Amino acid sequence: MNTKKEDILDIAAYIRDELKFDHAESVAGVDYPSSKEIEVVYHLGSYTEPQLAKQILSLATRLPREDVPNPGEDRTRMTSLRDIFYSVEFHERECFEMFGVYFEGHPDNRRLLLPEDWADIPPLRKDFKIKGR
Amino acid sequence: MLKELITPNAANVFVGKLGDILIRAVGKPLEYAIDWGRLWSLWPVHIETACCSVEFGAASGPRFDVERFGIIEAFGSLRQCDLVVVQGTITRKMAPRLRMVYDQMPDPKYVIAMGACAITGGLYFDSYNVLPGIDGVIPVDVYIPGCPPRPETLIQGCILLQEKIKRMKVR
Repeated sequence: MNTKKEDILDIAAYIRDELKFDHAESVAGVDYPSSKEIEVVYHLGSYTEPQLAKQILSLATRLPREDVPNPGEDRTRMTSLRDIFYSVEFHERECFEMFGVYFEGHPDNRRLLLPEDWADIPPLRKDFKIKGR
Repeated sequence: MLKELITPNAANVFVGKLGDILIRAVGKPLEYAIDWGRLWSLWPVHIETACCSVEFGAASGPRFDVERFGIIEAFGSLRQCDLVVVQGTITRKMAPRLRMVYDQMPDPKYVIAMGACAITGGLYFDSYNVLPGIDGVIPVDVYIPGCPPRPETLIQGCILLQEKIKRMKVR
């Protein structure tokens, strides 16, 4: 399911309340340098409905991508879904450090896994170069 | 004649010459004894970050038994150890911690890089967070190749390190 980033909060609330997908299993990022976009994909599952136990719904939205990223300051930002799916908190932190996507309204937007002195661009972007020795 | 030599001006030179003679006389045997003592009591710190630690465990078991060569597995604290065995991948986040472990140990200290990951990064050499070899962080004495190396290779590496220590100059 693809949405615009302005509508994602309403659509996520609809999915939770009406379609009964009650938790997020993962938050993934996909980098498209040719079309200058970054896609954020939420994989949603259900614990409460037995017939949805093996179903996964993916909710995707596309954000503008900066050539020179400045995580937290540039246009690559969207509304956090943490108020709707509580389990995305750590996934969104990881997406923030790996792709530079800033989630507005996230309570704890710090780095999760990278070294404390990381000063490079987000490492899972396509234009990230490995330094070697 | 000796009294004429030791003037206040030449005293420093005289003491220095005396030291040289003493080192010539007892330095070599003393060096040999100290090296011999260090040789048979290597106390390792284990940096167990990957599967090489399993091979180290096998090497310290009864079948291979590294203790025969003076490499003892148990240790009390970093300040009693003189050998770092890096067994596995070192990430960029782990590198400052490894350096901290190395800096806490008293001199003299030796480093064994065990396995392909510790030598060059191994399978993960093109990852964004894996260090391509630990020798940019700490000086390495012996490299033990393999992925992971067999216990026999580890024993050979330990013997190589002991050969190296035997020839080391004592400061």
